[in-house]
Amino acid sequence: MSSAAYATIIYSVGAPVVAVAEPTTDLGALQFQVTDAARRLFHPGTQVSAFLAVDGGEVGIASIDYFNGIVTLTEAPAEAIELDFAYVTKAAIGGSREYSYELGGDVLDSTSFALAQANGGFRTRAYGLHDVSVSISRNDDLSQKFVDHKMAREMVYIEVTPGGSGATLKGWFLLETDSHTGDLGALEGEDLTFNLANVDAIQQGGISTIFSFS
Amino acid sequence: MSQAAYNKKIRISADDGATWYDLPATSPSLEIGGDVLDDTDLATNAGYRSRCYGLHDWSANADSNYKPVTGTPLVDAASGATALLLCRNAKLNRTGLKLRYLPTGSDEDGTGLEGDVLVESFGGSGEVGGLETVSISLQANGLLAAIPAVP
Repeated sequence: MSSAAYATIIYSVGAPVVAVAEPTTDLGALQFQVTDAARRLFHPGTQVSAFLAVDGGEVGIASIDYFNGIVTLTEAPAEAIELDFAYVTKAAIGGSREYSYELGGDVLDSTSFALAQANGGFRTRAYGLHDVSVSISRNDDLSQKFVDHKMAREMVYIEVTPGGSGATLKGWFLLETDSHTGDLGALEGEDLTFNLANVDAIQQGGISTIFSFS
Repeated sequence: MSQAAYNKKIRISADDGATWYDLPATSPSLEIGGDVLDDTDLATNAGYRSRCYGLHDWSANADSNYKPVTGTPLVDAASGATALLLCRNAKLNRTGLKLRYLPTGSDEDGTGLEGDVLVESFGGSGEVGGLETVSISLQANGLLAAIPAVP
């Protein structure tokens, strides 16, 4: 069955909050998750560190799931684990009425004499760089929140669940354009376009730090 | 006699053609193009340009209704949700797909076409009063072949 768009959920976040010595829950397989569910969305621009709860010694981290507050350690710890990190809290983007996203990027022409001769004279291709963009149109509440993010050169977290259930696109983006519109007889509107943030800004981890769609 | 489009099927396979899933497309298209090279010269022209075929190329687009995947294991193949998931994952994982364009809905009457594709773009959109939709553009990665009729 198709999905009516009105059920789509779109989130953004507020400013990062520092958490120190945050308790975790052992998930097994060297994975430890922040126990407080409200603190599981890590801010990717902040270092995440793991420590033994009693001894206080630092523990090596192999990988971090920034969206679910999970660290995978390099070796099994002798004690409970506590984390230092910064987290953000989600809130619905008020006034949102339309959105779009695109998983795009480059598809490169790889045609060669050998390949074309082998396939009867057809072009062949290979994936190049991927890219992700999101656009949101909203009824403007004049809070200037997104303008503030852009002026401060901050990453913005966007989470979209099409139709309200199923797959969720989530990631950290840069606000490319913030357009304000409003005809004489209409509501004041704000059109936002986002592009995937700079991976170099991430302290640890790769692309999974700033983008997920599952 | 003309062919009503509602019978058409656009099918996707992620396992090299072993299993096929229907895309929930609303306005699919297939373009078979490529290069047609101008070989006109002063020695042989009869007052007209002449040409020869260069490389062939083709592409497909499938604007679709969005179908959420529900259940474990996947239970939404008939709705088109599985095909959408395959396209999205092919893009994210940099893998290829096989595409079948079946104008009559049949893969046995000799009218269908099949080839390997890469997902150039996979996008979604929704307006508060409308349906969730997905736009998929596919680029060829090699030959487009007719699917033989089954006697």
